Amino acid sequence: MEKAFQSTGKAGDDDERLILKVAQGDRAAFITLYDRFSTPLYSLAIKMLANETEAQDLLQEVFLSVWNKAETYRAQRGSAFSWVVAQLRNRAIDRIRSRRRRGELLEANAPELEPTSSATTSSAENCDLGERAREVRSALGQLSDEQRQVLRLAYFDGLTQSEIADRLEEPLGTIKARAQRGMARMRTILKVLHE
Amino acid sequence: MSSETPSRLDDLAALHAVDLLDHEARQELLDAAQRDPAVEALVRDYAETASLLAYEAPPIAPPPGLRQKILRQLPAPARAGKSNIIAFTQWVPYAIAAGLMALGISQSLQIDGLKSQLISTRTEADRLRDSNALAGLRLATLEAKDAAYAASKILVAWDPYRHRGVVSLQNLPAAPTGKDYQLWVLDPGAEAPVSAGVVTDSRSFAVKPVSTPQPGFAVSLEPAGGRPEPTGPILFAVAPGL
Repeated sequence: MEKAFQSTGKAGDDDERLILKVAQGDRAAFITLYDRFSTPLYSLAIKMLANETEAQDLLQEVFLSVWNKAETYRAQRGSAFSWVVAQLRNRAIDRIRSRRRRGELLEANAPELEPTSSATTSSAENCDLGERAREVRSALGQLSDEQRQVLRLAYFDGLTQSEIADRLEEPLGTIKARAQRGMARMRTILKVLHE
Repeated sequence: MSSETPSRLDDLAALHAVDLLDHEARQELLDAAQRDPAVEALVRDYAETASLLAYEAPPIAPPPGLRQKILRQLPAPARAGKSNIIAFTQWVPYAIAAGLMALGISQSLQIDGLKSQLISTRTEADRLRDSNALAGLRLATLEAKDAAYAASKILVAWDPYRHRGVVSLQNLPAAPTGKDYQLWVLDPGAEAPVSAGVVTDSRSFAVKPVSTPQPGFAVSLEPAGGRPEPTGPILFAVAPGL
């Protein structure tokens, strides 16, 4: 099976090499990687945690982990971006579930914060980020409302199948089917966009 | 990809990408991915798709000072790199030469205990399915590589079907401050030893599938919390197949 697409677009060609350099203790490579990934990662952290302080803590944690664990990254298992995103999501979900356990979780969704003007990324990188964001939103826009809703609850809120079924008051099988079809459609659309 | 249930594996890979699989289904998918490169590629493909969902979040740059704050926390630039792996693998021939320590009566009793502990971690269904597989349990005594640890014993009972085991530590002195003992699975098919985690007491452990039913094991002394690959001295080891 051929690889469907390069996840981080044009910049993705160098991401894996940067991680290898980071594994050798190259701080300049680490800074480049930070500049490239920090905005989408921080945006994801804000969206998931709905708390700027926690999102900043999480971003620190993840980048320190990238520095310490870069040696364990294997390019054949996936792109550098998906490797780092997975680390952030796993840690964010741990925090969300921990909050839930303490009964402190607020029901509010992530605030719709305006893009900040203090961005440290270059205009070319911002342009690239914008392009990818448009592609992803376009792909999501082609899913049904129900499919989109299930994927968002799973991806951003870290809910399990049962929790989503409870929240939406739908059978578990319906939730699974929506998630499967939504992901399959996303994969197809994004593949077409990158061919 | 397996011709039996390609659409099921596709469905599982899609759900796995957004963490919607339960433990058993996840294991089924990962086992299939281990056997079949096409399934592995499918899992990777869906994971890439899922990672792009991050771009749906409204773009917000982190505060300008955060980068510097992170950089200040990076440890000193010197890193050991691959030389540690070479140092680690140099132990293997010694472990092979030493062979498996003969098991005495007291150790047999301890191993019976390990077997029971390993079996008790299974569900009833697992027990039924694996009732014929218990004979395949690998029981290994790790040989002390340092005279200072001659009085210590480390035994491992390994279930090759579930890729998990139980480690028993006996008379092992407490790790020095700032250090931990870390257990490694030595898989001849892997590029590097596979971490089975920090061990402070007898406990069970699990790792991703390994390429042999008889992997080796080792215990090294690592900085507190453990490391993804061995960096410290190897204190105990038994080679694969012994």
